[in-house]
Amino acid sequence: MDLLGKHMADSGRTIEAGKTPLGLWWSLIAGFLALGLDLGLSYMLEQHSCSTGHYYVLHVIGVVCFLIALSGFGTGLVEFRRFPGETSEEGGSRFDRAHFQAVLGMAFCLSFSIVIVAGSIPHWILSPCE
Amino acid sequence: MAIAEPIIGNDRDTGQSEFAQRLARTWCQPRGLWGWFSNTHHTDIGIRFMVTAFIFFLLGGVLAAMIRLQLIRPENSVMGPDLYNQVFSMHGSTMIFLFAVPMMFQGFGVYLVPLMCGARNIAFPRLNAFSYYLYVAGALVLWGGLLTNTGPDVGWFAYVPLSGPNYSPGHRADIWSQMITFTEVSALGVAICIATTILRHRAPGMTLNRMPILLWEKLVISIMVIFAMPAVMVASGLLLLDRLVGTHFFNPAEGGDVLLYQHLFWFFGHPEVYIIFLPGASIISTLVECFSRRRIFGYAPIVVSVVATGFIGFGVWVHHMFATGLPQLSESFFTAASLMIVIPTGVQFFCWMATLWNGRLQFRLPMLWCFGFFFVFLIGGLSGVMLASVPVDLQVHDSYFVVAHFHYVLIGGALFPMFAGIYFWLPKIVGRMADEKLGKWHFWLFFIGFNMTFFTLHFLGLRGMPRRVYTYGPDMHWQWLNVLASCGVVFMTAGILVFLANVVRSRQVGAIAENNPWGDAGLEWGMSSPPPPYNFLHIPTVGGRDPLWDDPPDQPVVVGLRDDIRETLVTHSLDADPQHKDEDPGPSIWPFLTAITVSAAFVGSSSL
Repeated sequence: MDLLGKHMADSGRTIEAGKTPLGLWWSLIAGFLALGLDLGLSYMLEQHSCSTGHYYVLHVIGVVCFLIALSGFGTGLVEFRRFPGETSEEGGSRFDRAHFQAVLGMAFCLSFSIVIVAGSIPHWILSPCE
Repeated sequence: MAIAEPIIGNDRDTGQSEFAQRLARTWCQPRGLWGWFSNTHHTDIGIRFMVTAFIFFLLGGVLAAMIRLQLIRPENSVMGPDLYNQVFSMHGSTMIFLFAVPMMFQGFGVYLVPLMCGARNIAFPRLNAFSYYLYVAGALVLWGGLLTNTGPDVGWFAYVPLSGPNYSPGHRADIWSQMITFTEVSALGVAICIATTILRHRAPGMTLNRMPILLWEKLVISIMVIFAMPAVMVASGLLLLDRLVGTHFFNPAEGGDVLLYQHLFWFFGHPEVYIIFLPGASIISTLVECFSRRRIFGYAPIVVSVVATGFIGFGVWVHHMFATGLPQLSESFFTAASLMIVIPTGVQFFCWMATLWNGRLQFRLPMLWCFGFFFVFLIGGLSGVMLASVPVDLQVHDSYFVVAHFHYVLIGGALFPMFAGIYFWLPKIVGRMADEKLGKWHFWLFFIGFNMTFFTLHFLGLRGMPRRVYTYGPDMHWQWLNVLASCGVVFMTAGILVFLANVVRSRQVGAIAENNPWGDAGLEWGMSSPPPPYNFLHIPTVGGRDPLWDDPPDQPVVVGLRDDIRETLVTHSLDADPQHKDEDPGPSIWPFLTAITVSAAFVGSSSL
């Protein structure tokens, strides 16, 4: 196995050894951030929005957090498409590793965005204050 | 520390036997009593964690048997209420803090992670040894308390105000609080060692996307430990301050808040369930792949599920507090989150099933325990879905239904995989095979006894029997179900005795194990059984996710590490590229002495 040789060959491309492109980082954390913000902010602001009648605050939080998660999915997809065609989920090069990170990032963002939508729908149908 | 680029090459032509002898001399651990306390090698410390935790499992089991004996008939007088309170509190505390986490996370992790990474020792070996001694000290403090009639009697969670100074005078709750500090510091220390080993000591080629599932799960658990354990340490620390210094953190009369304690405790307590379950799941993933003779189905979905479980596990703690009168919105949130966490676990289940479905299944002894896990954990998971619903939870709160649920989850999620893992890695640990026939007796006795005891408890709970009561009246009509539940303990005890006999027999006269008796793909099988003191003659390189299946016989190895000092290889966390060489600190008595000093400080601070 020409382990070091392959890494040397990769070094001229866009992913440095031991580094993750910024877009991939965003993709990896956006889903977690969005879900955390959705739960935390909704919980904190529920009393305020119910006492003042500003229900839209809860809807805005849900929409914004959904967009955050979706942006993570989008950047993950963009990064994923920039990798050379021969990358695989199991290979040993930096591109293969980044390919795997992109898959993880997109999966996190997609699943958490679905969760945010599933949590927000009742706010539109039922009153969040009852 | 020497910093130089190691070379990856192939030196199979060099005189390996002489090289091996030099390495063995360099990496050998000192002998004798002094040497025993100075030992810092991960295989020895890992085995100690496992053996010590198993001893406490047996002790916790004795307490469980006492509980079932007391409840076998109405108005029984085997124990009075005071002793009963101590016994069930000690049972829970022992099983959670002294057995489940130390066995599933620390024991298996410390032993297996460096071997699976292709490393010669764990990162920070002295911190690792220190963590072991601190854990033992905490366990001795707790059990010393029981033997001197100061055993904790406030449950394994020690809720305030019951555990506060007004309702629990004396030192019983102090001992519980301080035991928490011991065991959690120990777990934190090991978490740091394991996470660093996984991130910085993986063999070259083992990039992030080639890490075995077990390493992924250990990494996630380590991070969970690092975030969860401080919460309970804060809770127990504040409780100690309330009790010993006279602060009022949990005293509502002085502006404190009793619910704060529950929030802090369960912010740790629910992730703790996953800290116990995920190691079991990692064992199942390893075994299912090995005995299906095919790659695990859905590597990426399993990794996503594990990470998602670790994250969502921190957002569900309030479902333990549904009966405390929370706002409806928070009930809705935490119901949703509690239901949500079923999804990643379900994904793992489906991936295991798909692996089995498409594989060439070899139905060996460890797989029997895997199938036991599928059955038991599934029932525990389904009753968990029921309990995530607030109306159901309020109905069965503090009843034996809950006891049945969490025993199905914890025994199903930890004990069944643990026995599967022990039978699987026993050949690696002792160099001999376990007896399959005795192992099957062990399984069936335990499986029948377990279901007889705990399935029955569902019905007791639905009939209204509350937890933590030392007796009940004959007019409640709970006796025959309690008799059935208590009879199950006899089967489980017989099963455990068969297991002990099997281990002793295997150690002495068991068939000699080959290096890789199961034909598994993990790096830990690429050496003699038991492993030599240096683990790997040469640090291996990895060419795929399943190294022993994927890699050719002439797979390159890392050369250039010195054999006259304990040199180890440090690699990049993402790509596992060789970065530099480091020197293992070697055996030392200081971890032991430091643990004694810290223990004295902890005990002294709780005896004010």
